[in-house]
Amino acid sequence: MDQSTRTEADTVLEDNPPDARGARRWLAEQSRPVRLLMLAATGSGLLAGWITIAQAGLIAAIVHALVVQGTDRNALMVWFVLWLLTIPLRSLLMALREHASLHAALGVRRRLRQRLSRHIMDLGPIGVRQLGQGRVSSVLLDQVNALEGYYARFLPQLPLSLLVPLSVLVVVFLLDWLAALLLLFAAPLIPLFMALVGMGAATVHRRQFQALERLSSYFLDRLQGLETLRHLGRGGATVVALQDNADKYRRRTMSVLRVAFLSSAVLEFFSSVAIAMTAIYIGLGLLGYLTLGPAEQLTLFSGLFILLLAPEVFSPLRDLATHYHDRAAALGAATGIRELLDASSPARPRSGQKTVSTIAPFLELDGVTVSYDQGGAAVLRELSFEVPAASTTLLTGPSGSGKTSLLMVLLGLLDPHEGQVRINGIAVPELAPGALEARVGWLGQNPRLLPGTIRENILLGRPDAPRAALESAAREAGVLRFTDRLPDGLDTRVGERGSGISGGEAQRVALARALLRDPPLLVLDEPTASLDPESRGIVLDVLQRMHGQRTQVIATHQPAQFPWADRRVELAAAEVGTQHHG
Amino acid sequence: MDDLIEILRLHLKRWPWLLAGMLLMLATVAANVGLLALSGWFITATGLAGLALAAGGVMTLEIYRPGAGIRFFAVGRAVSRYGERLVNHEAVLRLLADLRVWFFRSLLPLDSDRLAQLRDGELLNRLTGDVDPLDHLYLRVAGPTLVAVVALLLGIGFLALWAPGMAMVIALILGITTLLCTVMTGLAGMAPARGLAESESRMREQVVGDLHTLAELRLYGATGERRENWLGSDEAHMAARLQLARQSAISQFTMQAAGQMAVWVAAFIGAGLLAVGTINGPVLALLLLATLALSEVLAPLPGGWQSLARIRWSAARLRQFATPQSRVPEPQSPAPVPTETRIELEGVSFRHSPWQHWCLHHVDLDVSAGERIALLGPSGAGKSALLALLLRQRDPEYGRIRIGGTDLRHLDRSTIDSLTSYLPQRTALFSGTLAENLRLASPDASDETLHELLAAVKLEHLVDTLPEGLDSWIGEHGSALSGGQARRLALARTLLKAAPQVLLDEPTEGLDRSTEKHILDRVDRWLTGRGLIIVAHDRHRLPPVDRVLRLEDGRLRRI
Repeated sequence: MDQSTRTEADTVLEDNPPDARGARRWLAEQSRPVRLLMLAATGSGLLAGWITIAQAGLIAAIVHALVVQGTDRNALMVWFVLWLLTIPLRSLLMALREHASLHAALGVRRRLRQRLSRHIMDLGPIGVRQLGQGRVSSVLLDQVNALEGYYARFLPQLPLSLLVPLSVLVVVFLLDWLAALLLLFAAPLIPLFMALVGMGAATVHRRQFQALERLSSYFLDRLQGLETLRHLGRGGATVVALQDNADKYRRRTMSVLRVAFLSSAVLEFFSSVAIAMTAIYIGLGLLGYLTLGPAEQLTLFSGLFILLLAPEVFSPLRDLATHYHDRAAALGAATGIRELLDASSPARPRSGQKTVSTIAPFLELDGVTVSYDQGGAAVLRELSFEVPAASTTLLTGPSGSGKTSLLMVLLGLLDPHEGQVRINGIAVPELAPGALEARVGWLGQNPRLLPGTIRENILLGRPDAPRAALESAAREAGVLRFTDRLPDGLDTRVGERGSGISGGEAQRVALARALLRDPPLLVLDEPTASLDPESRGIVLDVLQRMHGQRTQVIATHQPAQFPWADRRVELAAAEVGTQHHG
Repeated sequence: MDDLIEILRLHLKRWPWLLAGMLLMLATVAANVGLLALSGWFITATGLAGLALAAGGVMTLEIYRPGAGIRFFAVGRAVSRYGERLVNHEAVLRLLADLRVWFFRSLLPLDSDRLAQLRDGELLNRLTGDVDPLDHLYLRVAGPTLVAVVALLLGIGFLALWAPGMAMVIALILGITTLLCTVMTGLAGMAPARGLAESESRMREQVVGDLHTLAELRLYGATGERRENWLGSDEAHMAARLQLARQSAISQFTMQAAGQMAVWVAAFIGAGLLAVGTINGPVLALLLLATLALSEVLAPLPGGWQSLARIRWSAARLRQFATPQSRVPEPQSPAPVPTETRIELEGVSFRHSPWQHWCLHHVDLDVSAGERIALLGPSGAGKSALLALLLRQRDPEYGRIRIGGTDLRHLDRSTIDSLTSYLPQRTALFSGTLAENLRLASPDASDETLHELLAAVKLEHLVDTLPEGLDSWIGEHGSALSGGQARRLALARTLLKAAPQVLLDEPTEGLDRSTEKHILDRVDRWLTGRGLIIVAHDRHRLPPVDRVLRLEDGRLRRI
């Protein structure tokens, strides 16, 4: 199992050329609505930088006065007090900067979550399944969060890493142009090296991000099936496999970090050496050993001032470097987020004006062809038939023949690749948004219940239904038969996927939910497939009673259960194959 | 605190990495202090010497050793910092792997009810959300704190060599502020950290659950409302995030100010000492710059301690999950593996919970080894419960169950697992290939066996059409297969496992009649010499069996 995990992971990595420029532009666009906050963050950072320069000047002046001029401490009281005042001011500005940039980052995150969540709902079940549920939830939850560091730390620091060193260099230049030149020589080399190292780091980081995603989905997979693995006697083997996988991930990550940390090591090295060089230059200049340029004019004040400023040329760059992984993480996340946002919905949003009446409709399918992949094998090919109003039509055919896909088309969750579906003569794309959904009742093979009470689940499609309507739907669907036995009745809580009640009971809840909406069109996917006789009897009963009042389309393996059905459409087996994922 | 002890123990196993990481952190701090302090001393000393020379005096100043020292500290700072980051990340990744494996291992002995909860969204949250931040205990809390304390002690000792009084005052300022800020952020951060973790896991649960039910949500027009729920959890998360950020901003503000204050105090007291001649000019500069560099060590502490709340909360939740009261306690001294598999139920009564009907009421059953039995009855009658009892996922309330003459309660779980091969109603497939999923049941099975087996469950056509045959990828949890195909693959895996007793829970549900007939006609070969208990709805849709029993109203009847 490990081997194929590895091979698949590797192909995915190789097949995705990075669109770093596109990702960068996209990241920049996202920050546009919060640019005032960004500006505030950068502004207060710059002011704090200037105060740091002033503090260095004060310290140098005080030491110079004390040591060289032998001035009395009391005579310097004004300077001491001034220095004291700058201390809280600088801290305040730093706090302001943090505050503004975090607000900016959260603003981007809020906007993006709103957009992504809307898009995911538009993609619907088919679109989400095509992308992979794990991937979709990871983009919405983890990758959006991975952007925070970029907007909260990296982006506000970017202009500061230029402006603060520049301000410092101007001051040093005024004090001693040769020292400024020394620092200037080291400073521009740093971005150059960082760019060189950073280019590699971004690619490797993206790979690491994917490796992490794979690792998490591997975990999910193994844990969800933990009981099965244990029953098959593979518990211990899985622990070993997990350890191997984690080791693999560690080696991968360390190879990223060895390179990524190189950029900060280069920076560290240059800043250390530049400070050392400056210190030695100033020392020799003060001793009078150096006669070139302005070295002879150096005083203890200017020398100490320069020494104190020298680290400030590099510390904003160092801050930027520590936030460099935020950028790399954001670029990786941006790729994932954009892929999700770019995924087109398998059912285009409808923008028509037309509605569907409450009377049982008639349906026409005209040359409907469905395939999940672009240019992939068709699941349904040029299918045409009619469903008269208030009739019951059975869809039969071997598994894999496209019955469920056809139902998805009827439900408007999947657009046919070619051909058309008409309801009461109106093509589906001409309907108003929600018009089709308002008139259709759906019952699937595996009833899906939401975590919550049984009552909430029945009310899902009609939250304002009167109590009497709810109870009559629950009675008709046989829900009351088992809820009467439960201490909390209809208010019994069920878990995800209906845990806590049996499959047949969950299907009855789903039936009650459909009935409560009183839909003129019922679409059912093997509604009795995994039911006990009692539940099956209830479902069949309800469907037979509705026959002649509602239009019903039922996919089934057991047409004999519906002897009263009017028509039967037999789907031929299409090519069965695996779908492509990722 | 108990919750953290287990985590600490895992940390201690990696002590060489952690110790190396902390020593390198300390070396970086020392080099930084050395670089700045020595440079300040050097400049001031040369300044004074230069003035003396200019005034025509004689002044000897050895400049080569301080120069070499400055260069040494400069290079040393860069090298130790790079080494420190590499070593610490290596240590943390090892810890993370340890933590994940530890968690997985601690789940292995849990009972089935508990494991069933893991199937849904909660799981990913627990793992990535709660296991991952545990390594911060070293990287953010323990490591920086230990390093800061040692560095501060050494630094103060260094300052005290020249000015003990000044060192005391600086130690008081830095020590008290650090202690206050650290404790305050650690305590005040508890509530928002909890809010952060809770809202995050709530949102994850909502999203993962809702993605499963997206079809229903779309058709019942509930997507807008569910989306509001997601975004509501996100807002709660952001509010907690802001509250934490505000707290850490306040403590950072205080810490920075305290560091600057220490430098100010050093200058002010130093000026006095200079005037009375206790120290000279170069030493004043040295003391000032050493204090400046030293105060930077303390900056990350409040933020680190803020994350302690999150770590504790995560550790507590993991522990709470991994140590439930087992409803089926393992035997203290397990009985040996039975040599045969006759199954006896004696007056067995069982219900899912005290307020529900009895599923099984004084049930007696005797199944001889190798006998095949079909179990019919309405859903909810307790057929699956009977299988759960045979697998000892639950124990009966009254009565006893024996296999091969040994009470199930005296057998350990792995023995029961090795005696049975079970197909539950809800089966798990794994990301991997067809062959890998099958070979979980029998790692040494030949390709030929697998092909024959797939033919028996009517999947040979699928294998033939797939480009890579048995080695074809079946997707995340088998998502590339249709529901019926996944069911049949799981059945094949169950048949492949070499266990004397096969338990099938509605193996052909959801399959069309012709596929069902095909399978029922062919499973016989794979059951030779083994016992079978099959749960079904329809007595006409069964493989050949010796006895058909009906379970209704808690009682077993032969038909």
